[in-house]
Amino acid sequence: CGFHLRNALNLPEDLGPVRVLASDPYSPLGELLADGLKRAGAEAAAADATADVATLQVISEQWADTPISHDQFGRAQEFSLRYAVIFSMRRADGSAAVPQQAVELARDYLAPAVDSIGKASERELLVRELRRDMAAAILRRVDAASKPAAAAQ
Amino acid sequence: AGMADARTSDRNQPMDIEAAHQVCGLGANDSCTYTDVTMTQGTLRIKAAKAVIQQVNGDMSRVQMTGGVTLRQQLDDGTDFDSKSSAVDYDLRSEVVVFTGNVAITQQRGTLNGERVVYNMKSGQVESGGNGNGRVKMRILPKSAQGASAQAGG
Amino acid sequence: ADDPPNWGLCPVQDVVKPFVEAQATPEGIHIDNTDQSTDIEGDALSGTEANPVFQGNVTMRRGDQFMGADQITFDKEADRYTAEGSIRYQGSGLRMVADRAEGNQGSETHVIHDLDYQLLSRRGNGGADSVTLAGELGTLRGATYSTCPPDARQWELRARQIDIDTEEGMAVARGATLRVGKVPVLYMPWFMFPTDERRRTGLLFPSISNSSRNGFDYRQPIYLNLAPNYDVTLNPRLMTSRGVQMGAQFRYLVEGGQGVLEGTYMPDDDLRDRDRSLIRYQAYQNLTPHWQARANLNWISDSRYYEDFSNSLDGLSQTSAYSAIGVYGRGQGWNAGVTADHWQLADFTLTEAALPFSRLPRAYVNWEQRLAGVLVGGIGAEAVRFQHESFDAGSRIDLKPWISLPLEGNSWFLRPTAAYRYTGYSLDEGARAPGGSSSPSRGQSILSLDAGLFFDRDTTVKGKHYLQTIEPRLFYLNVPYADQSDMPQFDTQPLTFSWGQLFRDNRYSGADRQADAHQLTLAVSTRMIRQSDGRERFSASLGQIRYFDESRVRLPGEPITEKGRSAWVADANYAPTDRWTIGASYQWDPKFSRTDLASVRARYLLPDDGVFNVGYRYRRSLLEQVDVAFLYPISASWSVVGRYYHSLYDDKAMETMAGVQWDSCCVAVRLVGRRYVHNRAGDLSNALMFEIELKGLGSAGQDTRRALRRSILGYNRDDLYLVPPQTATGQPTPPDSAADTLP
Repeated sequence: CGFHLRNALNLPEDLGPVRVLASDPYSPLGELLADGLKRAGAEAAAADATADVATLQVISEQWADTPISHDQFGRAQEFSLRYAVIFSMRRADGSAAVPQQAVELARDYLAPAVDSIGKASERELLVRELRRDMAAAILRRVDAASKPAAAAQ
Repeated sequence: AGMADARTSDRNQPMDIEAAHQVCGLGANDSCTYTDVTMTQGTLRIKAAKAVIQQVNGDMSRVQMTGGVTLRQQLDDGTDFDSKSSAVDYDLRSEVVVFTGNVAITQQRGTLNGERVVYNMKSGQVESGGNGNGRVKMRILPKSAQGASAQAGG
Repeated sequence: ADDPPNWGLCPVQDVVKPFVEAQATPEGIHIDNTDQSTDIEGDALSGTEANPVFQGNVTMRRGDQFMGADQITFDKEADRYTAEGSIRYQGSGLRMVADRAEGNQGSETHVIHDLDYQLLSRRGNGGADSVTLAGELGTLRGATYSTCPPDARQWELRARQIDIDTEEGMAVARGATLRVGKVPVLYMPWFMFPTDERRRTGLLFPSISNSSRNGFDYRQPIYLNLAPNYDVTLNPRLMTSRGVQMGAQFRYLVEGGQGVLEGTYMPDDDLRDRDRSLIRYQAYQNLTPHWQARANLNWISDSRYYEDFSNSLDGLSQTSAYSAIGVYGRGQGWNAGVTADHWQLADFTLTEAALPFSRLPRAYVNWEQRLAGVLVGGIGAEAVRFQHESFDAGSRIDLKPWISLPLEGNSWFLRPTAAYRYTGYSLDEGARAPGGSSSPSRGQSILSLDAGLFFDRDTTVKGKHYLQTIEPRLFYLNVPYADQSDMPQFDTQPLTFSWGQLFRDNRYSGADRQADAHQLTLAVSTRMIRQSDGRERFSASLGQIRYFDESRVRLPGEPITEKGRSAWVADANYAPTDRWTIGASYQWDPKFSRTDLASVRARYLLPDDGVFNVGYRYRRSLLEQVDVAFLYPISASWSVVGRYYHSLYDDKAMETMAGVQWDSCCVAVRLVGRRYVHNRAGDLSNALMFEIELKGLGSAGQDTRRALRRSILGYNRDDLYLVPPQTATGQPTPPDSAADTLP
């Protein structure tokens, strides 16, 4: 039915060495993206390289923890942890390899007010998992946007 | 401060005139014509391509300079008055000086530009522009910059 | 945070049309005019050297100031000028036309008579008997101010005097009467308001409202810009049926850090016959390139504070005031922190017992390192001293060294991981299990294997290229049983059963319990990714855990997880067009053949910022709710809003709302009727919220916009995306809209 094992994660052609730029130098998302690019076969740029090197830039990361259901006394019961990242990827010459766009992921979790004991630790676990899923989602977008078929369209 | 309170002492100084070429009538009311002339009288110093000086019974009554005239004079308050224009017509009797032809007057306080500027030395009146001879522009320097750039001008 | 008013419905051209000869200085560039020269031009010059008189289309420029007039006379000695006839002036952030003006160039002050003016940076305009301009300050006397166009003056402020500081973007009116239409509605002796959007306009607008609980409610923010890097906003507030409250917010910006200290104090609130106060401090400070200190401290005077000082459902959703302060470190492959946190009760129907244990202090470190070749190793360690008002506690240490072999190809991955988890306690008297030791501990090995394949296929749907993927994945977990019945429950709770739970090595959050397990997760995901920009049109996933043995570790009162199969977990997200997004989750428990979770959420973005949300949530023996909310724009001016949030489980309409909004260039009127849960006892109350928003001046009536934003997700489009769309695509970010207003 046409399905085949995936060949390599596609990267924009003639990308050259890539660096990951995040607003916060040690952002975990930045590290995850750098690992992902390395696994996809990209060549990591020298740590201090600033000019004429391709850049995957994490422009902004934002979190929101909003109640999505309340009990009859108005107390929040379920929350949705939402994580949105704006990123863009530019070639060494500054041209856009992947246009600037936003990716948003969300995880719902139960946090009844009566026993909100373990909720802080569940939220920390979800933050780590959302970061890994976000790195995968961004790399999927890089892959899709640099597919030869896409280029042909 | 302006032309009006030009160094009063200058007026009763001797005026000496140097010129490359000079043509004069001998009569008391005749005029002299100079080319490439420099006139100095006290702190007043004028250079012009051509100057025609008329006399009335031996006294200078009118000086008409053309072909590019530069004039410099020190005023009573010690500041300089500089002007550059294509022509200057100085009527000594009415004490009115008329600068014409992209006039640029520079003083410590600022500059004045125009096509035609008329100074009345006695009354201190000044006129410029009007009836079709171009815009008049004046620049007043801020107090802070006045001292330094008096010479720089317009 | 409130966003700047929307001027979309205003006539395009300015009230005072721009002067051809005067070019406005670019935004934000400030020219100090005192050391600029003055250039004057005119058709004719007369008068004397000392008092030149310019006539005929005279223009005078100095730095960013411009004046045009029929005639300007100078007194060079005194550095003064007078100007007459069709005066046009632009400077100090204002543009105006008038008949007469005079000024002193030395001190850079101007006095202009009988003028009509407009603010350069925004819509504010009006007239005045005279204005005295000095640098960036303008004092209008006998002045009017409005943001409405002259021919549609829906509201106008008339004042004896208005001082405008365009550099600060603030204005103060004295002896001011506010007229809506022709009717004077309010007299205010002193009245401060922002004149542009740089400041956090939402917070700085005075607001007037009326409710059965507060009576007449008037709030007048006073903004004091003390220095370039710190400012104070005072918030006096009068509530006729409760009393007077004073709020203050101090914001500071320092090298590598910033912070906000806020507080409110209300002596003798008649609602509860006691003093009420709140303190909040949020700040961060970079210590070194790797370490940052952060604080988020909240203190309330009594447990009904949030409930009594908010007028919407979200005032009740917060049941505790959480405070945390700590030093956090992060570096290449490691992160660590030393923190302290504490909960304060904010729900008088609960007791301290419902509050989580405070962690005073908590130290943690996670470190990960690529070892020889492909091996990766690391350790997660945490030491915590727990404390609680109602229970004895103790301290706990949790160590989890691990090693993993992440093998990967293009179309597959295989990640075996081996870890050993040791958790030990030293417990105070009351926290010990009956007859249990004071320092119980346990150690368990954790073996897990995560493996997956990726299958791709290129397809086209309706002419568009899509990448379709199928991603099977399995996760094997083996953890031996260790008796933990004598261990306390400090910060542990069963994790919400979800797709993520299928691939975790523990069923509990926190370290008080490490579940024994001998199980295998089988799961598969599929995606349809549009190749033009990588957007996921459709994704779905299905998974289930097979328990080879029962899991005997449990929390008090929890059933044993029997051998057999877990509930099925299915998630799906579908975005047929850029306007539609649909999300669904479903969990079916085959053992009891019943539904554990069923939720569907759909959102349709109507044109012109309209939005339609519908949602159904069912969680077995906990909740079943339906939520329909919409903002439907009928025309450029009229739009209707509505929400129906019904709990089928409690058979109770939690919030019913219907409203209409009329919007125009400078006035927005909102009338919203609401029936919502308004107190802890769950009683419903009706509220009719009427609000007149005088755009650019303030709003009268409860802040319905905030209530609407909370109830209708997407009422303000930006809430939808967390990240306002225009910033997603590179437009400049909107001006600093600070954290939410104080409850």
